[in-house]
Amino acid sequence: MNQLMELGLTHSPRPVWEPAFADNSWRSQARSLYSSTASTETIDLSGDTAIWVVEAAQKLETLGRLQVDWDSYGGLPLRPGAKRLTLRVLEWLRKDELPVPAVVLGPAGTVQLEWRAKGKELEVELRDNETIEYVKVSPTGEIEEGEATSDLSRKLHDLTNWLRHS
Amino acid sequence: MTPPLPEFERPPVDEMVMGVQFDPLANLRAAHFGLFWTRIQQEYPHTEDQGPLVPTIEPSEILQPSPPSVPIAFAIPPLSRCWFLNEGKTELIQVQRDRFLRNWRRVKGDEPYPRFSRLAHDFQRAWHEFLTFTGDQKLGSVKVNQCELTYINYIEKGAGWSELGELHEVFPFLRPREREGLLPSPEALSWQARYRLPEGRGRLHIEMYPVFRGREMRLALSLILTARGSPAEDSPERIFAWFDLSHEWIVRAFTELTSPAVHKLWGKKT
Repeated sequence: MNQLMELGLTHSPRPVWEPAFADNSWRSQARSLYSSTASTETIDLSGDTAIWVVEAAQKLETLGRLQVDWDSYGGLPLRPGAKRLTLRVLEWLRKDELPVPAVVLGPAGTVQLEWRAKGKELEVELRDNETIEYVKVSPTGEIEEGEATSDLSRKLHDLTNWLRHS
Repeated sequence: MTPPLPEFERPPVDEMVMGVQFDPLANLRAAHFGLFWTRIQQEYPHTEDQGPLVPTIEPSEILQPSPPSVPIAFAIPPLSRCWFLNEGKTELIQVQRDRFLRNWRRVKGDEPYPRFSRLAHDFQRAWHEFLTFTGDQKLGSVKVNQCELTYINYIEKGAGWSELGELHEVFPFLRPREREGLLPSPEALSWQARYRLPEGRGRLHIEMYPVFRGREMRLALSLILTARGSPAEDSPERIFAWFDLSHEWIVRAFTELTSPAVHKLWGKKT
């Protein structure tokens, strides 16, 4: 972990936000139905997006600019597969209320999200090959490690649900 | 006299979609997608399956929030939407039982916008091909009930703004924050507006919200302008007159809503 680039660890509540118009049925249509790219290449950061996603995206902007040897130990820049997976993960969890995670770049160009809440810790590494590795640390110090190679969306929701609920 | 239509050398448009919705073709089956592909395969060598779009009609009056879309029980089995993509995947045709759409989009990010006249011509050509196909296959008459034109623009951070508190530099109708004011720079900021098109031709919907763009790994403002409505008659001339009107409204609205400072960045010519 000491070779990872730490980029933030604050905890912010999700803001309350109401759409400007009561009738916004056309909104999601313009965003994702007619468009062939919007749903896969962008993360919506408007008011109904959890604040941790906004902050994680800002950190990701910084990570994306790092070049080879960014950590003086030969660290690789963000890998394309890890980038794609991170975008998808942020989209999957976009409306989930979670603490703001630390977003770190690993030496192999993977992305790690690290949450702390209710005495628990959750670290999820988003790899270049469409898989994830995770570590759960319970308030009593028990450690559980694992990886997931399929059905990643459900696995991530299971993990973040564990973090949120006592 | 109507002023000339504004033109930009480097508009921030990332995707443009032209489309029509028509009464469902009950006899259109999955096999017809393949048959239609044989006619356009040279130009569109790739295909993808997508979920169908729900029918959308622009109401003449908006009185209350629309109920959420619910699945409709079809007497005929539901059919997916098929994409036919060109080699570079920058242009695609989308077909389903009641929709025909054609998209242009940036894939690498540096593709020049081909201009409305070229894209409208290509849409017209593809639509004509589809109508010929439905006629040849005796799929019934295609009755257009809605037209749609959408422009998706991305205004990147650094192009006139660097934080959400500076959006008045891009959209002059937003007032700058007062120096002694209470509120800091906003954490989230979005806006929506809708306007009636003339002569009951539908509406122009505009929405702005911040996004994170994976391709550039940058924050950006998404500015989406969608015109939707029905042509005066279901004839090719009237349909394309509707697209011309909508295009003019989208371009003028885009220019009116954005500041001269960002127009300069996008190389405004007229």
